[in-house]
Amino acid sequence: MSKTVLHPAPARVALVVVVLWLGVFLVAPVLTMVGGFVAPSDISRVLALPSTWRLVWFSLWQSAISVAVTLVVAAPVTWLIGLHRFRGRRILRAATTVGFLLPSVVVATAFLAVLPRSLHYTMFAVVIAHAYFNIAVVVRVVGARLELLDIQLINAARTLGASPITVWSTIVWPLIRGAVAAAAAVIFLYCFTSFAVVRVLGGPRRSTLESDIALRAFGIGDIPAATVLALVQLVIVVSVIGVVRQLSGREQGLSRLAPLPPTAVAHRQRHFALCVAIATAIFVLLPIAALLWRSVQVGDTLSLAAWRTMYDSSLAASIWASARTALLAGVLGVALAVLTTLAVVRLGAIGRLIDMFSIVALAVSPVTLGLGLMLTFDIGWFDWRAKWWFVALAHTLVAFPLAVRVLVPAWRTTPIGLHQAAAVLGAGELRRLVDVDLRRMRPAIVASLGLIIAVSLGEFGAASLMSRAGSETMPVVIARLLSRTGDLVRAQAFVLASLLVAVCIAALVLVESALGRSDRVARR
Amino acid sequence: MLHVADLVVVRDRHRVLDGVSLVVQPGERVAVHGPSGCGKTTLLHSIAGLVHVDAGSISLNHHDVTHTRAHQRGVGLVFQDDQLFAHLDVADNVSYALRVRGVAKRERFIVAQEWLERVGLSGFQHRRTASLSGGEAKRVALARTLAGEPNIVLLDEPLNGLDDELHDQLLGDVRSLFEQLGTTVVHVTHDRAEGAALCHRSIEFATLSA
Amino acid sequence: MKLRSSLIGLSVAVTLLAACTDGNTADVNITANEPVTLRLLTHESFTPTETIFDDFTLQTGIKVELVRSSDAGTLVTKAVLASGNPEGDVLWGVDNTLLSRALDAEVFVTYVTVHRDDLDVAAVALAPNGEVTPVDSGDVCINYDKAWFAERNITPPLTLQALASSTYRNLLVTPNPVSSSPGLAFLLATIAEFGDGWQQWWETMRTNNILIVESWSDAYYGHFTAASDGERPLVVSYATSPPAEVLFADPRPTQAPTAVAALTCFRQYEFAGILRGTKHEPQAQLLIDFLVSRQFQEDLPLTQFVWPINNTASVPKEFLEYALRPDNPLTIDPAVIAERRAEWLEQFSDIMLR
Repeated sequence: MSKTVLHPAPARVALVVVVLWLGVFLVAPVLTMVGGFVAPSDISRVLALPSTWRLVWFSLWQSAISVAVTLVVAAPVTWLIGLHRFRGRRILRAATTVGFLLPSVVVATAFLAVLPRSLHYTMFAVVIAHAYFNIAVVVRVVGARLELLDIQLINAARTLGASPITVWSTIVWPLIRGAVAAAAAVIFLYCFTSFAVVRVLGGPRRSTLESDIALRAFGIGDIPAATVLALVQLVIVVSVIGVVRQLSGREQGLSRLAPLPPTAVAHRQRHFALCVAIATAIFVLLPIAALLWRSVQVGDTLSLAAWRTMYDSSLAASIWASARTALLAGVLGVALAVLTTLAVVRLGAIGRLIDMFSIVALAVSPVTLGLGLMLTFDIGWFDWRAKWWFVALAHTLVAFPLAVRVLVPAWRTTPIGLHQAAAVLGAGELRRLVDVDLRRMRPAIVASLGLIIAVSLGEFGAASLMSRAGSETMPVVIARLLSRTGDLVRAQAFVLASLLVAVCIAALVLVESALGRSDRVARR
Repeated sequence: MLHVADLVVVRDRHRVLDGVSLVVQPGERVAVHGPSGCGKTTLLHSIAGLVHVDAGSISLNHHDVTHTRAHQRGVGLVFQDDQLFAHLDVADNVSYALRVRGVAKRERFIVAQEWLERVGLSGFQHRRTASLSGGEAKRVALARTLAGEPNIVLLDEPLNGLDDELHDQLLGDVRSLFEQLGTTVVHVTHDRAEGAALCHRSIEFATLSA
Repeated sequence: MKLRSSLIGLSVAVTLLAACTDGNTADVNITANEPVTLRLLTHESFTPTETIFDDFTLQTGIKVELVRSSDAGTLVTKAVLASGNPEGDVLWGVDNTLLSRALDAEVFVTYVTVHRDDLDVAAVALAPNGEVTPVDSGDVCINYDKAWFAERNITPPLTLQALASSTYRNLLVTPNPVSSSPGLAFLLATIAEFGDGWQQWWETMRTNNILIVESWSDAYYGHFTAASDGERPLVVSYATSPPAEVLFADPRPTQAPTAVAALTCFRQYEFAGILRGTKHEPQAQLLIDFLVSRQFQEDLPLTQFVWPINNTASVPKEFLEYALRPDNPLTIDPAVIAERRAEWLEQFSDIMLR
C-alpha cells in the first residue's frame, strides 16, 4: 500500500540531482588531486616516511583522549538535560551548543586568553578546547536518546532493588550505548581533523594529519604529499565511521515514538543539579567573556577604539563577505540536504548508500576540499577562483551532511496516514511532497538553515585557501590580524571575533526555536 | 505490615497527597479505588520510595522507611505498562532482582523458571519481551516483582487494557497465586469489580485523606 | 511564521542582489577614460610611508591599493594557487628563498624595468630575464640582547657553531622556516654553513630547547627579551633590527641595545613582479618602475629597515650608523634552493615538528 502512495519518482529525480552535484563538486576535485597530482611514487614516498605514521599515531591518540575527556566532561550536564525537566533547560542546552558553532580559530584564541601562559602549547589546552566544542554533540545525541528513555524503566529497576549505579550499568547503559557510540564517532571525527585548535593551542611542534596537510600545501608547496596524506586521513575516518555504525545496531527500549516529558529534578539531587548547571554555564561563557574583554583592551588601556574602527571599509567588507557567503551556502545547502533526505527516506537500499556517502562527505577535510576545488576549477570558463561564490560552494559541501542528519529523522516522523488522506483528496505526488512532507518539515528545514549558516560563518580551513583579497571571510581576517603585531590590530581581531560570536548565537537561537517546534510537530 | 501516616506530597505547588493514611495488615489485600488523576499512582510511588515525601511517615514491618532509598525498601511494584526490560530476555527480566543481589547465574535461572511456571508461562525463558502478547507481558511483570520476594506488592492498574476473557482468566490466576503465597497487596484500580474480586477489602481513595 | 518566510525571502533577495552587483571588479576598469586602480599584493612587513603612492598617482593617474597577506609564505602559496587568475596586479615580497616556487608555477610575466642598470648586479643576476625585479635586500641574522648577556657575564654566541653549546640552552627563538621567510633564510644559513651535516646541528638545537614560533613578529615581539616580556635573548631577525631599536625608542639611546652576530647572516633579496593574468599590464609596468625608482627606494631604510636595491638611492646616516652590512654573508645558489628546498623543509619538519 505504501509503495503506491509514496511514489519513488520524485525521490529518483532528487537522487540524480544529488549524485550529479556531489560528483562534480566533491568527487571530481578529489579525483583531480589524486589523478593529476599524485604518482604511485608519491604514495610510496609519503607512506614510507616514519613521520607519516607518527602523524597518524598522534592524530589518533589525541582524538581518543579528546573523546574520552569530552564524554566525561559532558556526562553531568547530559544527565541533567536528558532526564529532567526544569526552568531554563532550553537555555542551558542552547548554551552548550554555542561552543560547537563557534569557529575553531576564535575558540582557540579565546582559550589562549583564558589559560595561563604555562598551559599554552600543551596537550591539556588542546583537549580542553576539543571538549568545549564537542559537549554539544553529547548533549544532543545522547541527550536525545535519554529523553526517549521511559523514566519508569529506571523506577522499575529501583523497586527491584537496584542501586543507582546498578540501574545505570544494567538498564540505562545498554539502552544508550548506541547513542554514546554515535556521539563518540562524531567527536572523534571533529578532533581527528582538528586544525586551528592544534595549531594555536598545541604549538608548531604538534602536528595532526590535518595541520600537516596544510603545512605541506601552504608551507612546503608539496601538493602531491598533501594529497596522499588527505587520502590516508579519509580512509581512516571512513573506517572508523563504518565500524561505529556496525556496532550501534538496533534500537531498543523505545517504548513510545513521542517521548514522555522528563521528570522534575529529584529532591535529593537538587544541589548537585544546580552545581552542574552553573559549572557548565561558566565553562561555556568564560572564553566568550575573555574575547569581549580582550576586544576592549588596546595595549594596557581599556578603550573602544578597536570597536570604532569597524566602520573601516576593509573590516566591514569581511563582515559583508561572511554574511553573503553564509546565506548562499545556507540556501544551496538546504536545497541539497532536502533532496538528499528525500532520496534517503524514500529509496530503501540506495537511500542508505546515499546516507553513508553524505557522511563520508563530512569526513573530507575542508582544507582538502578547498585545495581540490582550487585545483579543479581553474581553466577557462570553469576558472571560478575569482568568483565570490566559490567559497560558498565549498561550505555547502562541508555543511550539508549535518543538515541531512537533522532532516532525516524529522522526515521519518511523517505518518503514512497523512499521505493517504491527501491522496484520497486528490493531491498528486509532487503536491503531496510539498503540502504534506515539506510543510511538516518546515521547522526542521529552518533548523538546518541556521546550522549551515553557523558552520559557514565559522569555517576556516577552506576559506583561508579560497578567499580572495578584499572578500575574505571573518575567520580568515581574524587569523590574519592575530598574526600581526600591534595593540590596536590585536584588539580588532577580538572585536571581529566577538561579532562573529554574536552572529553565531543569533543563528543558534533560530536553530533552537525551530527544533523545538519540530519536536512538537513530530509528536502530533 | 504497612503503615502510612498523614502523607503529604506536593508537586508544582499542588497537594497531590494531602494527609493520606493507610494501614495494611500482613497477608491482607487492599484495593484502592478512585478516578484517574486523583493521586493513586503517586501514593504507590511514594510507598515504593520513588517520590519525595514532604510530610508524614511510611513504615514497613515497624521500620520507618520514609527516608529510605527505593532500592533498599523491599517494596515490589507492578507498573501500569509493565516496564519490561527490552534488552533482556524473559528469564533475565524475572530474575533481575536476584541478579542485583549477586545471586549466581545458574541459580537465578532456576528461580526464574519456577516463577514462570507459577504464573503459567513455562517454557517462556528465552523469549524476547517484544514478542509477548499483552497478557503474557503482564504475567512476566508480576513474576518479576514476586521473584524479588518483597515485603509488600503494589499493583498499579494491573489488568488495564486486556480484553474481557483474558482479563478474567488473569484475574483468577493472580488471585489464586496471592492466596497461595499470602502476599500483602495494595491494589490500585478504577474497576471496582476487579478490586472486589482480588482483594479482602476496598477503600475509596478520597477517604484516605484526613 | 510570517517573520520566517520574510527572512527566507530576504536572504534569497540578498543573494541574488549580491550576485548581480559583484563580479570581477577589474572588468569595470577596462574603459580607457576611467582611472585605473592597481592592486599591490604584499605581506605584513610592507610598511612604506603612507603618502608615498600619492606622487605616483599624481604622475601617472593610477591609484594603488595595498592588499596584505600575513607573511611571504602565504603570499606566495596563494599566488601559486591563483596562478593565471590573480587576486591583484603586482606582487611585492617574494624573496630568493621562495622565488623558484613562484617561477615554477608561472605566477609572473616578464618585464625589464627601465631602471635596470641602476640596480644591484648580484640581485639582477638572480632573475636575469626580468621574470621578477629585485626591490630590496637584507640579511637575516641572529640578534642578541646586549644587556641580558652583560648582566650575566656570558659571551654572546658569534657563530652558528657556537650556538650548539649548552651555554646557550633555552635562549634562542626562531620563526618556523616552513611558514616564515626569515625562518627559511635561517634554515638555509645553517645548511650553507654545515653542508650535509646540517640536520645534526638542528637536533642539537632541539636538545637545547630552541623555541619555534609561527612568525617573525611572534618571535621578535612575543619572545625576544629586548622587545617584549619574553624570555629569549637570542632571536632570528634582521641585521637592520638594531637601528630599528634605536630609531623607534623614546628617548633615543646613543648605542643600540641589540647587536648582530655577523657570521650567522644569510643574504636575502626581495623581488616584485607583474602577475600573469592581470588586466592592466602597461600600468603595472609603470608601478614596477616606480618601486625601483630613487624616490621609492630612498623611503625603504627608515620604514621597512631594508637596504635599497637601487645603487643611486642614498641611505640616511642614522641608518648607516647603526646598521650592519656583512661583507660575506652566507648564500646558497638559487638553482640549488629551487631544487632542494622542498626536501630540506621536509627533513626539517621531520626533525623539529613531528
